[in-house]
Amino acid sequence: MIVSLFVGPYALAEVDYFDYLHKKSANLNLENKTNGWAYMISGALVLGGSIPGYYLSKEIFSKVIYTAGQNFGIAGIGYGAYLAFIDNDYKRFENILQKTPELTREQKNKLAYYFFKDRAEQAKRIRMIRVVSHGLSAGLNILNGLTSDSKELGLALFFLGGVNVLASIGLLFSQSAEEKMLTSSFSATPKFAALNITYHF
Amino acid sequence: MKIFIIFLTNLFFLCNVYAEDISFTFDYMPSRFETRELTAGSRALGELCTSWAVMPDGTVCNSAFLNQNTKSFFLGRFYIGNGYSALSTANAVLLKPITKDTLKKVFENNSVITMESQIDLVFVTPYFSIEFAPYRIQYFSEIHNPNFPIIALHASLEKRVKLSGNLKLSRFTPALSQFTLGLELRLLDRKYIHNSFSFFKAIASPDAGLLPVNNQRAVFLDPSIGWASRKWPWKTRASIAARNIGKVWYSNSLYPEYTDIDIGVGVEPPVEIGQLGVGIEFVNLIYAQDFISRMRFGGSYKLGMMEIMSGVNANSLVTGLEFGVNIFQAGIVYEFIRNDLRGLGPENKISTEFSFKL
Repeated sequence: MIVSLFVGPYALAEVDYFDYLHKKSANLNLENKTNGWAYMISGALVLGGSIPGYYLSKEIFSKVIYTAGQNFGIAGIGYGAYLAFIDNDYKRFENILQKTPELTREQKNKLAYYFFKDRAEQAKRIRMIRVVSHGLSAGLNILNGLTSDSKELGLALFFLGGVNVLASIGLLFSQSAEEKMLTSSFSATPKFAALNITYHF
Repeated sequence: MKIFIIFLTNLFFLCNVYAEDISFTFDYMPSRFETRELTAGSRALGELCTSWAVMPDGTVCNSAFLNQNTKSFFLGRFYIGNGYSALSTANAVLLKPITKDTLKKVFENNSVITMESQIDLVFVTPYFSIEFAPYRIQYFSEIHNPNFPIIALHASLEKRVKLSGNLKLSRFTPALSQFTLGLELRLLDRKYIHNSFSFFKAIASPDAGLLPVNNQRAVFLDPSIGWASRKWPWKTRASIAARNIGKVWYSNSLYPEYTDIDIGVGVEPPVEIGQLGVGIEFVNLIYAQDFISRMRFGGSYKLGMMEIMSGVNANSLVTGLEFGVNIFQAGIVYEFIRNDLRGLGPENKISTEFSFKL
C-alpha cells in the first residue's frame, strides 16, 4: 500500500462558494421574476382602475388618491419590469464566471468567496453611513422639538427623534443580510490548501 | 293697533324659536367613532384586528402577532373620512376661536355631516411598536328645521400614544412554542364639544359659551394571547384579547370604554400567485347587544404593489384598495352601507389615506 500526500495552493471546499453563489443567484432570480410579474400585473390593474376613477370621482381627496394610483401604477410596472428582466448582482457575477471556462473550479471558488466578502464589506459601510445619518437626524429632531413653540409639533419631533435614535442603535449592533451570510455560512479565513491521500493496493 | 298685534305675534313666535329645544341634543355617537384603529386597512377589512397578523400597510394591530412582522420600519400616515369641506369646518370649530363666519359655515353645510381624520406616526419592529397620533379629529353635526336652524354638534380632538410589546411563550416552555403574549398600553387625551344651539343665538352672541370644551384622559392596557399554528394548514392563527382595562378621568356616556373581550381566527389559504387572507372575529363579547353586533368578517388579496380588501360588520359593508411603490402608499375605502345615524338610513362614504414608509 502506498499513501501519497500532497499539499498545494488550492482552495479547500469547506464551503463550495461557487455552488453557493449558483444556488443563491437561482433562488433570487426566481423570487425576482415572480415578484416582478406580480408588480407588473398589479401595477397595470391599479393604473387601469385609477384612470376612470379619477374622472368619475367628485371629491378632491379621492381625485388625489386616483392621481397617486396612476403614478404608482406606472412606477409599479417599471419596477416589476426591472425585477423580472434585469439580472441581479449574483446572477451577473455567476454568468461572468460561467463564461470563462479557462478558470479552474478552485479559482472560481476563490473569486466567489471574494465576491461575497466584498459585498459584506460594502454592506457594512452602507450600514455605518445609515447609523450616522439616523444619529444626525435624531439630534436635529430633538433640538427642533426642544425649541418648538407648538406642544403637538414638539411631541411629534421628539417621537421622530426617538425613532431615529432607535434606528441608529439598532443598525449599529445588527448585521445586514450580506454580513450575516458571510459570518454564519462561511469560515472567516478560508483554507486555501489541499490534502490529497491516494491509496495504491 | 293692527301693526301692534302683528308685532307681538312675531315677537312671541321669535321667542319660541330662540328658546331652542335642548332635548334635541343627540345622546349617541356614530358607530364609526368607536373605531379603535382609524386606518384604511382596518376600515376596509371590516375593522378586523384580533384575527389579523400584518395589516395592509405593514403595521400590526394585535400585539400578540407582532413577531409575524419581520421588518423594522417607520410609517407616517394621514387618514381622512368624508372630505375636505367637512375637515375644514371641524378644524375651525375645534381649533380656532368661534366667529360668526365659522358658525355661518356650519349652518350652511348639509343637514347631517360626519367626518373623521387622523395623523399618526408609527415605528414597528418584530418585538415592539410605538405609535403617536397627535391628531385624531371626529365631527358630527345635525341641523334641524332649516327655516329656523337648530344644530346639534359633536366634535372631538384626540391625542394618543400606544406602546405594544410581544413575547414568545417558548421562552418559558417548549410546549408553548406556538403561543405569544402581547401587551398594549394606550394613553389618551381627548377634548370634545357636545352641544346644541340655534342659529339666531349663535349670530347674536357667538362668545356666549355655546361650545364648552370637555376634557378627558384615559390609560388603558390591552393584553392578548396569540396562537399561530405550525402544523395546521393555511397558516391558521387565533387570538383572544382583553380591551380597555384601565381608567378614564371624567368618563362620559358618549365614550363608553367598557372593559371587554374579543376573539378572532384568521387563515391564509394558499393561492398560485399573491397572498389571500381571511379573518373572523367576535368582539365586545360581554357588552354587545346581540350576536350580529359582535361579528366581524373580512378578507384581503395581495398581489405585488396592491392589496384589495373587503369586510362586513354590524354597521357597514366595506371594500378598499391599498397600493404603493417603495416608500409611498395610498389607500381608498368605500363604505356602501353604514347604519351610523339612527333613523337616517344607509349612506355611502369614501375615506382616503396617504402614508410613507422608511
